[in-house]
Amino acid sequence: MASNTSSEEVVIPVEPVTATDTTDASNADIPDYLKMSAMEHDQAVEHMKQDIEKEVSKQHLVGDIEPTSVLKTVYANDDSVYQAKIQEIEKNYSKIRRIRQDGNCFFRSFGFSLMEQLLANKSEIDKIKPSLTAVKTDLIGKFGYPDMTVEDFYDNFIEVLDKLKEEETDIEYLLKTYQDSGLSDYMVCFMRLIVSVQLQRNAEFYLNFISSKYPTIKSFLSEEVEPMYVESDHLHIDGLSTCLNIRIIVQYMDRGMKVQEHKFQEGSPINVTINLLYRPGHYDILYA
Amino acid sequence: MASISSALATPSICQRTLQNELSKMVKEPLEGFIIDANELNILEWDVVIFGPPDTPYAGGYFKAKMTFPPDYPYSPPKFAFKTSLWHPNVYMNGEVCISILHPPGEDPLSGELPNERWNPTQSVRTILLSVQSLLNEPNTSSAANVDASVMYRKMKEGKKGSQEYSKIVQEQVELSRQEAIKDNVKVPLTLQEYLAMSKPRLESQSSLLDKENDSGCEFLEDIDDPYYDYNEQTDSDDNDQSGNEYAADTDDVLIPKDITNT
Repeated sequence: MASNTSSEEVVIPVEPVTATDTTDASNADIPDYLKMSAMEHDQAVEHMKQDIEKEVSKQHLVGDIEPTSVLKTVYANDDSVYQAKIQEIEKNYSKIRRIRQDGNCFFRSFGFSLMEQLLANKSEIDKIKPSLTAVKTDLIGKFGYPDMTVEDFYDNFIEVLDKLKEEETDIEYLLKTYQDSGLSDYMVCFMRLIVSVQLQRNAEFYLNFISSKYPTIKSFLSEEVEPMYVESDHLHIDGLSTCLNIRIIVQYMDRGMKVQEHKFQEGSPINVTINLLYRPGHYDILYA
Repeated sequence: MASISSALATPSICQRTLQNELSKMVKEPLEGFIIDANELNILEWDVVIFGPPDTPYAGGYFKAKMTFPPDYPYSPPKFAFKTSLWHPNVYMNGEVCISILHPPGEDPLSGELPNERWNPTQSVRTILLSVQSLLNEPNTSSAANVDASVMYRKMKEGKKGSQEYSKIVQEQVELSRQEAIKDNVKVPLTLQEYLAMSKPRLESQSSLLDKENDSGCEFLEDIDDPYYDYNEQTDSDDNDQSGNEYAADTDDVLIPKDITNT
């Protein structure tokens, strides 16, 4: 009888511990004998993270164009859901350009695809510039961002755009620019600020779509938009697409029944269409 | 996330950014600071902050070190005082706790508003201005040094023990000034003017200290304010009387307690 109750008592504290062992605040409540395994668990997670980072840093920031069928090798042969979806996507998009999976992939995909198309369609470049300048002006004048740094990010972006106008600029230049992490990240950073401006300009509207965990648009931006390496979501796409008035079409390839297509700024007069492939947690560029 | 960023860091952009910031700081220096980047290692800057006038830190010569991560400006630098600094938002090891120095996602202090985090448009300049304004106006809602925070609040509210805070700071300021002499640094003129100004104030503070035991009425007046009573009770860590006293009339319980403390 006595042993029965004591074994029950041992079991009880285990429950909250396993449920909360990832949060630091509750660590103090964990008995010593359980703390060890939590630490080992953390170490294992840390090792795994480092391995993933190492793997990711080997990927090109922006890869070469490949046939879309290359994705088939990424998923198991018997993964019938994904294999079928890849075939479905292949029908409309025969080629893909893979982007490094570092959390900046949406922005890098967008930026590269935009500039790649502008390179072939130079007359559209000047149609985009006014919205970029307005972004800079609002960041500094309206939203109080430091001018020195904002101008640096803006100038860098405009410099690359202007370079696209020159006759001798080719795709190699663009690849080199986007594969140089210094320049590439600088552009990603500015595109994040574009989204930030768009959401701040229409804070009331966008707040409707933001988790209540973020009481203000600013708190959302400083956690989910402005920092590098933070993944993008529907709102980021909408913000960038709306602010620059650039058409984006995303093929969503997840575990659902079919590939879903989402269009942003469909009616844009600017002759550019960014085609993206979404797989959970990642974006790549698609080509017809 | 922070560890991912450091693994993918580009030293070139970091160095370029810091060189840029440094040359701009040389061209347009910030008032109240001395900046000295390490020539061999641009990732480490030595900084001196002069205590802002009209604060307990006035006349102080506070040394600090800024350490930049290789993926700066995508991640924030660390800012740590090398000179002892008694301040609600400075840890005992000298590290400063300001929200803009926290990378996103980290939440070391729950009281902190998440809307002032680091982003890549921040710079050395904005950090230094934040530290300066922190010396002017400590943030007691998220304390790194709880004791300092409690003392600071007492000072603000003119409570019993209200001079403890400035007393400790004053000692540190004195010590730091000896350091300035050793370093052969001339304290700016405005600062000296301020020091002269601050003398009568120090006298009034020490006289307050003498009167501490018999001038109880002065403090009782403050304590009578129920709003302050409540705050003092809930927030200060040096009071270990617990919630059961709240059941009683707060005013009645607190007044004798505060007096017996001294």
